[in-house]
Amino acid sequence: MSEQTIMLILKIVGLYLLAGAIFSVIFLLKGLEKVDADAKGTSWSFKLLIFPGLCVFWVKFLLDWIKVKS
Amino acid sequence: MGVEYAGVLWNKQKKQYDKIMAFAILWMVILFVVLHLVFQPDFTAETLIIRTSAFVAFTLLNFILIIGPLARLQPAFLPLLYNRRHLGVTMFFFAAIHGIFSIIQFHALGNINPIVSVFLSNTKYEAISEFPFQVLGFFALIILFLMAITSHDFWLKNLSPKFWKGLHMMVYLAYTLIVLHVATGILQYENNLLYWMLLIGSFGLVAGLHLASAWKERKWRKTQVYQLEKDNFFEVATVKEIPDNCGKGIWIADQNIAIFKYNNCLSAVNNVCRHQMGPLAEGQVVEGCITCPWHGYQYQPEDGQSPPPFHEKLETYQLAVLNGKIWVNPDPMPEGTYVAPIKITD
Repeated sequence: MSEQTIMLILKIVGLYLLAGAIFSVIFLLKGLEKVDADAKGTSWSFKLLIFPGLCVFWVKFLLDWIKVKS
Repeated sequence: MGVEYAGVLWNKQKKQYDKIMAFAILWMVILFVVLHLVFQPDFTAETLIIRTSAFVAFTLLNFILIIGPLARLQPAFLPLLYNRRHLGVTMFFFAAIHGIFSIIQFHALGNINPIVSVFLSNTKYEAISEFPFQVLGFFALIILFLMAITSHDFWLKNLSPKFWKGLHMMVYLAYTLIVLHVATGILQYENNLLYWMLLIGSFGLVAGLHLASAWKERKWRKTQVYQLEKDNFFEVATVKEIPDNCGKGIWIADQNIAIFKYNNCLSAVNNVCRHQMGPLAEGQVVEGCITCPWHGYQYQPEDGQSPPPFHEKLETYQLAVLNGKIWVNPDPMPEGTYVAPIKITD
């Protein structure tokens, strides 16, 4: 695998995670309690704990949020 | 079971577990550093950090992996399972320290991206003694990272137990990669028979205990032959053999069933806890609820539902008692279906 190919993969992964981080901040502020009722009134330490996972699995939560909204 | 999530649901046992863990890790670090300074005093502080963190992470990973089969072979080890999650996250932190320091020391000083350097600094994939072992460690660390960030119950619920379990079963792939990472990495440079013995011994212990527990389970299933059938009810046990507030696990018609005796009654539910697939029959009935021996998840014996306001549900089964013998219908009722408990008359 060439340097260019690895750099391209790293950029794609980086962009995906950046998009995930932006989504996760919005989701933690406005969407979490709608998607998972058990998360109502949870602390910021809990939200901080799930933040890295949201950055990775954000697409799943985006789809869940859209489903709840519709 | 959480109706409301918290960062960590602390209790006395978890605090005690973590204290013992911290104490053991502290001693591991001290022991390793002292031995290293005595026998190999020429290494830099960075190398010492890289090696110490690797030693602690690998030791913890081996320990984590033997807890499950040990508990299945001998229930006295069950308390070790209780807070394994904290062990796992701690292990990841040490693995991350090892990975980050290694990348900084060996890959960040050139003019290419350090991550790219992990893949391109050595491309001798056909060699054994000079195999690019860093790549194996890198992928193992990615798996451990995914496991660590999804270790909270929030993830178990939202990713679904099936996906979550699948993701966390990847620890075996990570372990294999790490064993190869060690064998093709440090052991190629530190040509010491003791290190090889430790690596092969720990791998043998993990594999051997898994095989032994699988063999025990297989042997147990083979003993589960119930032929006395009437109207699809099978005779599976006697009332006397189940102690009060305890359960008995049976395997019949591909159903893993737990029968519980409590308040002079009998009920049957699926034997697999919805949380992390713990064996419910090895738990007890506490305050009217079946309580999983692994993490304390609870279910009402008559309908397999977690007590309100929790949501988990198990399949239930119909029972009958005749002349002190327990009969079960292995056709599962839908999850959460109420089945009237059978009164024990004699």
